[in-house]
Amino acid sequence: MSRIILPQALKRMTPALTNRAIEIFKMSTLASTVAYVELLQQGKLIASLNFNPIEAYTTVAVIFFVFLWPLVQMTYALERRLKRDE
Amino acid sequence: MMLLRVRGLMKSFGPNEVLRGIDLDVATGERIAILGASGSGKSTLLRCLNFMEMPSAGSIEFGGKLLGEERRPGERVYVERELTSVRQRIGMVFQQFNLFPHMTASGNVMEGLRTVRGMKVAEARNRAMVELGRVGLADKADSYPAHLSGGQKQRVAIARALAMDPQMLLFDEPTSALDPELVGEVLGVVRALADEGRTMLLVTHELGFAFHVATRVIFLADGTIHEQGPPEQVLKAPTQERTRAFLARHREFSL
Repeated sequence: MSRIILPQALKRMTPALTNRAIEIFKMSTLASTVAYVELLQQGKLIASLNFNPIEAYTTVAVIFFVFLWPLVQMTYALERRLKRDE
Repeated sequence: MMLLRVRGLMKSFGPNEVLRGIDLDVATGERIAILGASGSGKSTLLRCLNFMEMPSAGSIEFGGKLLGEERRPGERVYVERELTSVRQRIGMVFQQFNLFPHMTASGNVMEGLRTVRGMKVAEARNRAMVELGRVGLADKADSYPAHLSGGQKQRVAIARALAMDPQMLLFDEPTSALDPELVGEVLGVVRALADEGRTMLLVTHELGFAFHVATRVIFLADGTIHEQGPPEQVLKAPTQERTRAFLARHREFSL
C-alpha cells in the first residue's frame, strides 16, 4: 500500500492539489465580500485614505507576486520530480 | 520428487467454467509448455497455481504439502499466511510485464527482497544487480520501466521473479506483447534458465521454442488437458484431432 499504491496515487493527485492551493490563495480576495478585510481590501482602504491608488495597488500586486511566484515554481519542481519515471 | 501435484482443479467465473478438472504432476526440473487456443484456460491455470485466482474446486499440493484445508466436503479454505509462503516460492512472469512504474529496474527487483524478506537496502541492491546482470541489464539498473523497451522490461520482470529464489517459475505468454525482433532476447533468457535446470511452466504460442526447450507439452482445450506428452510426440505426431487442428492453424502462415 504505502510503497506501491500511494506513490502512484500521489503522482496523479499532486498537480490538481497544488493548482487548487494556488487558486485558493488568489480567491482569498473574495473574503472582502463577507466583510473580512484581506490584502486587496486593505490596499483599497489605504488608497482611498491617502489618494495614492498606484502605489497602494502596486504594493498589493508585489505582495501577491512574492507569495505566489515561488509557490508556483515549487509546484513545477515537484511535478518534474514526480515525472522522472516517465 | 514431485514439486507440484494438482488434482481435479476447477475454476469458474460465474456461470463460465474455465477449468473443468485439471490433473497435473510436475517434478523438479521439468519444463512444461502449455498450449491451447485462447479461452482454453491456460492463463487461468497458471493464476490458480500461485493463487492469484482461487480455485473453485480441487486440490493443489506444492513442495509435498497439501495446501488449504477442507472444512466442508469439496470446499477448500486457504489461509493467507500459507498462500504468501507459497507465492514466495513460485515466481511469475506476466504477459504485460506488470513492473511497478514508479520504481527503477533495480527497485522493482529489490521490492520483494525488502518487503517480503526484510532485506537491508544495500544487500537487496547487490542481489538485484546479480539478477539484472544475469538477464543482461546491469547497466539499466537505474532506468525506469517507461525508458525501457518491451524486451528489456520483460527481462527485468524475469530478474524480479528470480530474485526470490523461486522453486518454480510460471511464464504467462512472456513474449506475446513484444515486437517480433524483441522476442529473441527474452526467449534467450528463458532458455538460459531452462539450461540451469529450473522447474518452469510456460504458456506460449512460440511452438518452436516449446519444442526445443520443454520436456513436456500440454495441450489444453475446454478447460481440460486434452493431450500431453514429450514435445516430439505432441507437436509432431499429435494423437488428438483438436491438437492437430490447433497446430495446423498455427502453421498456416509460417514459412
